[in-house]
Amino acid sequence: MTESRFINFALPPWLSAGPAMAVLLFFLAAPLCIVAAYSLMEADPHGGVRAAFSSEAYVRFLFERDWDGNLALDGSYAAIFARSFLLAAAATALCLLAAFPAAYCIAGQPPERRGLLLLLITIPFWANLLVRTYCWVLILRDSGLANTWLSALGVIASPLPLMYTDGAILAGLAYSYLPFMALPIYAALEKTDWRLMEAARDLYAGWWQTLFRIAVPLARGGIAAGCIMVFIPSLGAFIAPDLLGGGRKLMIGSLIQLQFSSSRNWPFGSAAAFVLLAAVLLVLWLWLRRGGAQKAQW
Amino acid sequence: MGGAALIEIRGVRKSFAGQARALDGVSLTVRENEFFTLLGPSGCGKTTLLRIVAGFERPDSGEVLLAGKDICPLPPNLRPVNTVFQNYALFPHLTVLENVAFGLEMRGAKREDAKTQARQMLETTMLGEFGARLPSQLSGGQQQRVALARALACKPRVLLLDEPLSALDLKLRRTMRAELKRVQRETQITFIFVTHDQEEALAMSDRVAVMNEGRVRQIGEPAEIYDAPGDRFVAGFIGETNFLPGEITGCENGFLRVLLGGGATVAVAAGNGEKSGAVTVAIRPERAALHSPADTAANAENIVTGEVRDIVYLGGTTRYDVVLPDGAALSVSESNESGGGNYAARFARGEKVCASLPRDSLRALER
Repeated sequence: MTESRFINFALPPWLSAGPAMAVLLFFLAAPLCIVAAYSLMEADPHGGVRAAFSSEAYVRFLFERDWDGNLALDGSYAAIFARSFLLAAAATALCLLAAFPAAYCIAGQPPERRGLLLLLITIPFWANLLVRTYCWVLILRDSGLANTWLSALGVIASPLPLMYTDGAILAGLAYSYLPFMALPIYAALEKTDWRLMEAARDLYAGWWQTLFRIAVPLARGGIAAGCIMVFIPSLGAFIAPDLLGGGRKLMIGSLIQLQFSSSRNWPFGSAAAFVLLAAVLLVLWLWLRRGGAQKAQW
Repeated sequence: MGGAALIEIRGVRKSFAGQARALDGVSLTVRENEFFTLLGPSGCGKTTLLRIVAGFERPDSGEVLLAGKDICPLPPNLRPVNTVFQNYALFPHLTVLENVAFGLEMRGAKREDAKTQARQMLETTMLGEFGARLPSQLSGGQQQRVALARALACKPRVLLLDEPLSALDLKLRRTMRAELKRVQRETQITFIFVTHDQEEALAMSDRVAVMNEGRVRQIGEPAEIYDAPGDRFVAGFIGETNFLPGEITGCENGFLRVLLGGGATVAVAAGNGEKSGAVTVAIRPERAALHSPADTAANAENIVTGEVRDIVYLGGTTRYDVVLPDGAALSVSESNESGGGNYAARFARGEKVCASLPRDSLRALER
């Protein structure tokens, strides 16, 4: 059904879709065009760009220019990309592990209790991301909650170096985006007939078998949506890597942010943003092509 | 039906938070190889009782014995009991074959063996060609058969059926009724069938338990339930019944004498019910017969007089609604035997009639 839902207005489709198109134009297409244009200009040492064409930003991404102007292959930015992808994937996996059981339990509750539990999951969202990430600093630093408790319990003698590690970044990322995973999975589970779980139990499936043979496949759409919604912001995150990772090992988000602030290389920042966008689209496209074939059976 | 007891339910109580008691001390016994029906209006607790036997709910008190062993502490997957759900609850992401094989596989059969057995099961239920389809690609009746095949594939000791026919249209429901009965006879598995449809209950069951408000009101074979209802609720819920208020005035030759509100005295078979005082006399519409006042002299016993208020032609039968002198309503149903398109009602609206109420068909029940 591609028919317009506003059947009473005899507007041509392009006009009735106008408001949506305007939003997309001003908030998506226009900024992207600006970034694309910037990425192909020359950097102004004082910040901003000079209106002259240059592909230097993209070249710099993979190559290093020595004093003589010769190009040499340089993998350091590519390594930042790879690291970011790995961290984002790990954060997504962590979110999935934590969010699925939570969403499953909430969806199994009586309806009047579900609202409250969902509220509890979303409450952290009401606080600023920076504040929430800083809380993790208070937990993970040498004199933080985790180390104090562990030494009080006699588990450790000297503080564990928890801060400024990939683990710290991971914890921060997973914590920040957990609701993005939990909510779509809950939405998918909430729509499924709970008697299917009962039917599985009735047919001799244990708790785990019911979970993996029935609940997980039925929530597949929600899981896919949740993974996308956690993976993509994790990839571009810069607050968690800066605060918890100490900014020493960069993630792409930090790299891009740096180009627009202290490094004052807007074209390179724009180019990195564009390469990131392309990479994300490629991953999504590959995934949808795989998942699409499965979905067609339904 | 004199089989050994397979399921014994003893004093089961269950209430849900914020609601009236769903089950208020239910005790009953289901015998081996029996088609046992729990019949009652919605909210009477029959589904709760079924869910307790399946293991989805735990009773607040009381016990459920399966072959002499209390199964209440066991989770559903450890009970040799399978369920056909009201809306079938077929797994939408699995094919028909995978649905039927699911239980076998979960019980430890190898995937290939489970599939082979499931395929045989589908063949015997005439669903062989649908094995590769998804449940959403089947009609309601076919889904129903898949649900039945899935539950029977594991050869349970007891099969629980939760209103399995209620989602089907009338014609299909009749066919499935016969099929269910046949399957039960052939598999020799004990069926516990939950329904609110009294016709279904009478047509299929070996024994019926009539439930209301969390209690069992009567247990018996269909004819017993219909002809000798134990109380007013059962009499009113199963089939149509006339209720005539009266007073017991005496007892002779094993029959109660009851003075009806209109002044007539009738003899009523003494059941296990009331012995004195105010009662309700119950009679089925088809058990009463109408006569014109002129030809009743020979048959003077158990006669009440009244006036025809309404005549309803129902095809196979005609129903006369008669008003008795005290204002009580008496419906009498007569079968229309003469064909040939020359139907004419025997009485006219407003005509005085006599109704004879055979004393074996009358029941004196509490008011």
